[in-house]
Amino acid sequence: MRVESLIDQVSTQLPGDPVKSYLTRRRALIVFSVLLLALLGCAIAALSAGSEHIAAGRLFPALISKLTGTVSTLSREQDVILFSLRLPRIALAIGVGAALAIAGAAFQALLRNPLADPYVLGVSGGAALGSITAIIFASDLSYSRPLFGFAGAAIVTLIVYRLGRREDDPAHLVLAGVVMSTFLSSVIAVMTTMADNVKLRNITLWLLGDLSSGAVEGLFFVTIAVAIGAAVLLTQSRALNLMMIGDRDAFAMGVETARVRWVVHLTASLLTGAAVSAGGAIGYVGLVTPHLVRLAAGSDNRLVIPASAIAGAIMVLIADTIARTALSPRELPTGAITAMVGAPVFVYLLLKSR
Amino acid sequence: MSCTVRLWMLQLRDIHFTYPNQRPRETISGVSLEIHAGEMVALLGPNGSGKSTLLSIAIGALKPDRGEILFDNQPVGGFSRREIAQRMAMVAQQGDIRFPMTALEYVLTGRFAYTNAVGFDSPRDVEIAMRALTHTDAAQFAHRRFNQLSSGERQRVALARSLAQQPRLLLLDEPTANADIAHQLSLLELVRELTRERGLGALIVTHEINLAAEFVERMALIKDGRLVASGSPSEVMTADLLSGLFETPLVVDRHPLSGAPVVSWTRTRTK
Amino acid sequence: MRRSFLKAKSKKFLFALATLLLFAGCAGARTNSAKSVETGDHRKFTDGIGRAVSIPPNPRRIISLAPNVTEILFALGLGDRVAGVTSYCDFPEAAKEKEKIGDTLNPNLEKIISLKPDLVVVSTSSQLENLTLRLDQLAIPVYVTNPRTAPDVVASIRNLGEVTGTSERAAEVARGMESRISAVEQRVKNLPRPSVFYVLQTGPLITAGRNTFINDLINIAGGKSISGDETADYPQFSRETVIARAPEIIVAPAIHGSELVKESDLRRDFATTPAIRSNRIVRVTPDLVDRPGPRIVEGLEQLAEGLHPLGAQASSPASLPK
Repeated sequence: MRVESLIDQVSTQLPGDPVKSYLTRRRALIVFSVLLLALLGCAIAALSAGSEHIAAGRLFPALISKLTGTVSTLSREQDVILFSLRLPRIALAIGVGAALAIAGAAFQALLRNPLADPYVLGVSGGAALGSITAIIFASDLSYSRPLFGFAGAAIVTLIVYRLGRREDDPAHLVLAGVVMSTFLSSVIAVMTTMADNVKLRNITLWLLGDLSSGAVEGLFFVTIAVAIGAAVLLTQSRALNLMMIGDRDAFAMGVETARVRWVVHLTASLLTGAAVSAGGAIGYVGLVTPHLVRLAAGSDNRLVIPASAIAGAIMVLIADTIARTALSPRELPTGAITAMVGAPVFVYLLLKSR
Repeated sequence: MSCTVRLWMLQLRDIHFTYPNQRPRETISGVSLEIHAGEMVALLGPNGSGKSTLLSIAIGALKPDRGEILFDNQPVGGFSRREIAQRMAMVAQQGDIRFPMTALEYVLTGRFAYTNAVGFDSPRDVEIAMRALTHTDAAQFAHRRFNQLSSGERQRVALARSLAQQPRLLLLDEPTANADIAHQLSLLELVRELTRERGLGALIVTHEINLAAEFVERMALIKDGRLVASGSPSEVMTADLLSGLFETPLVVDRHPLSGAPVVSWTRTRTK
Repeated sequence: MRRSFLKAKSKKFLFALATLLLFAGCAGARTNSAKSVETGDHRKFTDGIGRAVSIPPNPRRIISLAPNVTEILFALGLGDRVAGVTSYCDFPEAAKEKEKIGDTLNPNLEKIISLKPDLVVVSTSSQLENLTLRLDQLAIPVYVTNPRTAPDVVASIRNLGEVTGTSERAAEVARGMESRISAVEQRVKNLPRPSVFYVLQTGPLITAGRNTFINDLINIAGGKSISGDETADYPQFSRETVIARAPEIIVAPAIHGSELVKESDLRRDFATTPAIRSNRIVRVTPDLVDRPGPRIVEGLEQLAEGLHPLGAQASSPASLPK
């Protein structure tokens, strides 16, 4: 008996959308195509936009001439702006957005809580403390900020994991994370009072999310983190589907829940750490993006996790472009834009889910 | 008792277990139990006697302090989680799932032990899942959101999920808890059919003593973590044993049609 | 079936990975794009923090990243060669008409580049190390000034004159400033030095430390700051500390008659100090004492007048705060 005909038989009589009933290649193809096209469109728009507008049609020829080494059609200033300023920044926005969204999706599945975001387990506090330590004490080393930030994230992750680990009760983990977060916030507050005025401003801006530093080291970290993290989490996504039902059920169905728990926790935390070290604590991306993806395409993590990556990249890219063009030449912090847009969207999603 | 030789399927030998916060009182004290292929066994006892704990130990979710668990005469510790899942399936109460998931997706999760980590569900997986849903009379819910189903409907879908695992042993934790009387019967008929015709074993934790009496070959009575009695329903369901087990006066009668023992409570009357 | 799926999925994944790496790679190929400027006879200078800078002979498109730099550039007669200023650059009036490149702490790099500058002047007080680095990488000449004291300011004016080819005008301006400074020094030379408390703001209470400009001005004007030994530039003081150190004069900023630091707050908080008891609160115009530019002499004169009111010289115009 062919499967399609069975489902057809059943579904012609009954309500419910057969396309949505389980994850098919077709659904995945549609979702990815739409998202990738959207990302491409946003990237083109972002590359054009800025205090110096570069027409979209000139971007591709410029890219070709750069790769082949021939003379560019752009003026020298446009060339510099496009390839040295905008391109790295856009790449960073994409990387940070992808990392945060994947981490958010993974945490939500792992903690069985659609309200979780990548910062709930204290990771951003650790990354923040690391990065701020770098800003205050080691600002001359170019690698210091992402490196310290990442180290901070990793240390906090391990501490929270040890403190909060309990089979079948993700609430413990969240509690440990919240305690850690508040503790770290107070440490950060003390350190901020020790910093002089300008460093203070740097810290404040960074805490709100700031992609303008142009540090390529951060981009490097994030790219690696996204590549590895996405791959690892993709292998765990089926197991996560089962763990969304319950730890005991997942275990009974063949999932090594303890191992999945720490692999996912560690990977998602390191993704968050890399993103926060590179671009500050940009909020709402990890919280809202997976929700939107689930609304459109179902909760199967095999789709939600990679699709969230692209959707998160789009979100941060748009927010960052607005941040640097809305009040040009002034720059707004990217995290402020994601919050201003993300918070109302989130409230809407909450109300809609009733 | 018939003289046919039955294959052991699941053996629990002298299991001792204590929950960390209940020390020093043991939760399970020296329980030994066997389930044979093709056999339905009911596990009965008052609340807190350790029934669900025993199921968790059987599936490997809890590690006993002492004792062995054998499946097909091999220690369960030697199997990987996947291999265990291909042999035993558990059906338990299912609360709300906080993410939108259709019943079909829910049942498809049962195929985990047979699939790769990465990949789409194969048509065969989907077919097995749909067949399982049809078997439990829940195919009409396949495309509905799990959370939209009533608890009785969820039970049937949960049973379908365990069937999708193609197990040889079913462990059921109060499978008829929220079902209406018709569905209670059809659920247990289904389990009986699976044990009789497919040689599955079934261990059922239930409060429905009379329903169990209609269907199971053996009953085990457990109290305070100890096995109090084990045998056929007729052997085990005596007024003395049951009244002692539940610490309340009970009477045992016979079902008018099937002849199976039927227990009922008494209310004290002032003479 | 499974194999073809894996191919499809991994293809998508590899594509995404490749795109991301392409972006990162392009980002890395940074310095190729900044071709070196057509060399005329570039001149080499050492700037205020010891960096070697190579600057074209008469820069025509200068960008200032600090208000004091803007004032200096205009004082050197370079007004029409200024291509961009910060949003805080408000003196002289003509500066307000210029293209804005953002504020002092976070200038917009894209805007700066699009204005095609041949010289960018930065003040260290803005702490724009990262920006300076990036401009360097893009082969745009950056000159960093680092005035810490009043004589430093005069020297930086001379240096900027050399860098921009306006040495004569610079010398003129510098001489004028030096004479006014030494006039003040002469006047207060033998007068007793009152202890001074400079209030930058209240709530929280911030004052100025050893390495600040205002501290140097207070010293030249014949006073001694009670926070003059603090190593932090703008430390936060407690009221008890101030009262314990018993300043004889309190100096606070004021602008156009309105008080940034309220007189009532000062009277209330420091009622027991000699300054309040003898009613000696001196107001200074903030821009005249904060900006290391040509107008510091006016600020200095304001300060000296406030600290030693009797016997003000007629050589300086009446310097009461407006």
